[in-house]
Amino acid sequence: MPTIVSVDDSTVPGEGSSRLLLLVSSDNKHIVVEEDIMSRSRFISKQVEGFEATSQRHAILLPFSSFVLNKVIEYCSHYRGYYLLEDDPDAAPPGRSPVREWDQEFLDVDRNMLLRIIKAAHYLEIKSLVGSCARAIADMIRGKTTEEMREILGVENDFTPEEEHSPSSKCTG
Amino acid sequence: MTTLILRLPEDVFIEIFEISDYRAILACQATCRSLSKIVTGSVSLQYKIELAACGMLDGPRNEHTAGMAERLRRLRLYDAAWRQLKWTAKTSFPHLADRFWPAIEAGGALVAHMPSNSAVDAPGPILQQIPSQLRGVEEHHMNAPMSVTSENLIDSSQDVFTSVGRASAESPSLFWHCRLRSWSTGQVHPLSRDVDPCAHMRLIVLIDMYGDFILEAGTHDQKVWDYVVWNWKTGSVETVQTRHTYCTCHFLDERRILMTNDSGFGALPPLRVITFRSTGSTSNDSTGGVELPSYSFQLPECINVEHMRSTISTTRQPALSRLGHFYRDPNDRLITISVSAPEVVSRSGQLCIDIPVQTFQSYIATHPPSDGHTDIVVPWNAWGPSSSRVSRAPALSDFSWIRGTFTAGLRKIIMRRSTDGSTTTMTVLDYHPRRVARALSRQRHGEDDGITILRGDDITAVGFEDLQTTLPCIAKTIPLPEELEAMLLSEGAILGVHLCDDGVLFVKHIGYGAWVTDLWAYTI
Repeated sequence: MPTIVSVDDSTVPGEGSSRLLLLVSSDNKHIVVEEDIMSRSRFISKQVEGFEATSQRHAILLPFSSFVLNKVIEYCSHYRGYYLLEDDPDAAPPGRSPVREWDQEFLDVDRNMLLRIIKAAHYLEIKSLVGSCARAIADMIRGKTTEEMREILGVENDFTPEEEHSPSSKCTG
Repeated sequence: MTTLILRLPEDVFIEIFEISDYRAILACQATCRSLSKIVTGSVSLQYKIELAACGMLDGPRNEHTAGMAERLRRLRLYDAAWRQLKWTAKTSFPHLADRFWPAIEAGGALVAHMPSNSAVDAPGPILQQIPSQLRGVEEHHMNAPMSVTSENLIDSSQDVFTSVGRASAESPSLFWHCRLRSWSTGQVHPLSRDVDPCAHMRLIVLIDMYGDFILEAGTHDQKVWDYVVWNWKTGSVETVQTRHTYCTCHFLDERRILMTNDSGFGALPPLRVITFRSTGSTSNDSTGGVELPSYSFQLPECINVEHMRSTISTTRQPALSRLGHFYRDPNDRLITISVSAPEVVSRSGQLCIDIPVQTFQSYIATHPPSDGHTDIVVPWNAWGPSSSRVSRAPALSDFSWIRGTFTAGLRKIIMRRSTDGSTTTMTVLDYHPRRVARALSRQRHGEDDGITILRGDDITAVGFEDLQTTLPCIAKTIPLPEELEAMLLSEGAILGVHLCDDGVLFVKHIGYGAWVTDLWAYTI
């Protein structure tokens, strides 16, 4: 049950008429952010549409930490007002998302953080950020052996010996 | 505790894998059960892996083409059909009868000319697309709206028809001229500058085409030949190589050419790769006077290169609309060289050396020239035994009735007749490294496709130890269809065989070099 908090219709001084949103992270940090910064997120946009339909605005609870949330807000602030094709709900999805230099630097973080960001971006439905993270992860696993891959992804080999030697992966080389 | 990565939603994984290469996908699939389940459960990832394993590229996608699941199904059937050599019923091309000897073009197309001594207003050559059921490519043919000379190269992907002829029909001069025309309109190609750097030569021969580049040989006296690489869109000349004899020459890629010594001129290296553009340079850049490296790849010393002959599969692509659901990677090519070695091979006196073209690129990539040395000699033992296959050529009598194109991509066919002459078999060899790897894996798991994995022939003669090679290839032999066998026995019919991307084309001729009387294909 989301906490009903009152968010009045005040606007940020000097920043036009953008309304504010209250986001609550899993570590219970309250973060106030302008609505149009977060409009890149389909998830947030749908929430806001819901507010307008019910004329009731409440805090949006998110299942990830403030550390990750702040990183996502940093991303959205950077692209505030920019048109990115991947984030346009009406545009046909591009075959392959473009490489953006700023994103590469922005995502130069450790592996766990990268995985947390992509998960958050997926939850918030920010396609451009999911795409950039996916590219960063793909770069990370390129040219790695299965053993190295387990190390990078932090997964355990849970195959039985028979399964491991089955010809399920018939293509090598 | 579940690790972080495994708590990612499935579609995020698929998004990551879709931009990864197939090796990374397979390595991930083998890490644990959850990832394995995601990879095997996704049609798009399975299709991606299958394309890589079969050595194919994805065709264009639009509302008229099949979806991913259908492509995957067809691709698996296509691969199995090549493994089992399961051909369709024959397709005939009656409109090609009475034409001149056909030439195979890229992507399962062929060109058939009218005899050059026919009437002036004879119809132009026909470009024939050979159909493929599984790739979804339909039979299609079109006439070029022009009558042309014998030399020509076609790049359907760019709608280019290149030919050599006199500057104009009225011109009394013997000077020749290379022209690039649009296949569909017959007019000068809109991107062509229509300047031929060899136009002042007495005789020019059109050799090869690769994207923007044309390779031509020209001579004044038929003794000294200039090999010229030029850009047909800008008119700029990239390189001129002078040889005192006529060689065979092909593009290796957009930066290199391969010259093979088919002239019997002993002083020339048998295989020489010449770089004509430096890395990253655009076609307008001059190389700035920097000497670009060339590599001479030597053959075993015991081989006599005097009667060397080489052929190479083509790289050019069909037009976008004829690529089908998937198509062969045009960079997969095979060179096959035949050399004389009567001391080793008793029957035909010939040895065959099959070399995947990628061998040269990967050797050069891993052995850059050291300072100041741009003319690099690579001894046979440094490159050959592990990346080529030496075999005994079939006896000459096997070949006497047959002509044609024996390689397509990394596949090659060999026709053999039984000693009593009553039956003929066709062997398809496949050198594709991933298809070979998959066949090896299948064999290890006891699956029997009726194929054998061949390495080089065992040539143990003293002094010929150099001829032991290790490059594996898949081999499958089938008898010829009965109707063909009957035809072989009938008098006067010379059979031409052309291997193409989707099957084998048989051509019946009357007499050598004469008109086609019948032409049909067994395709996939």
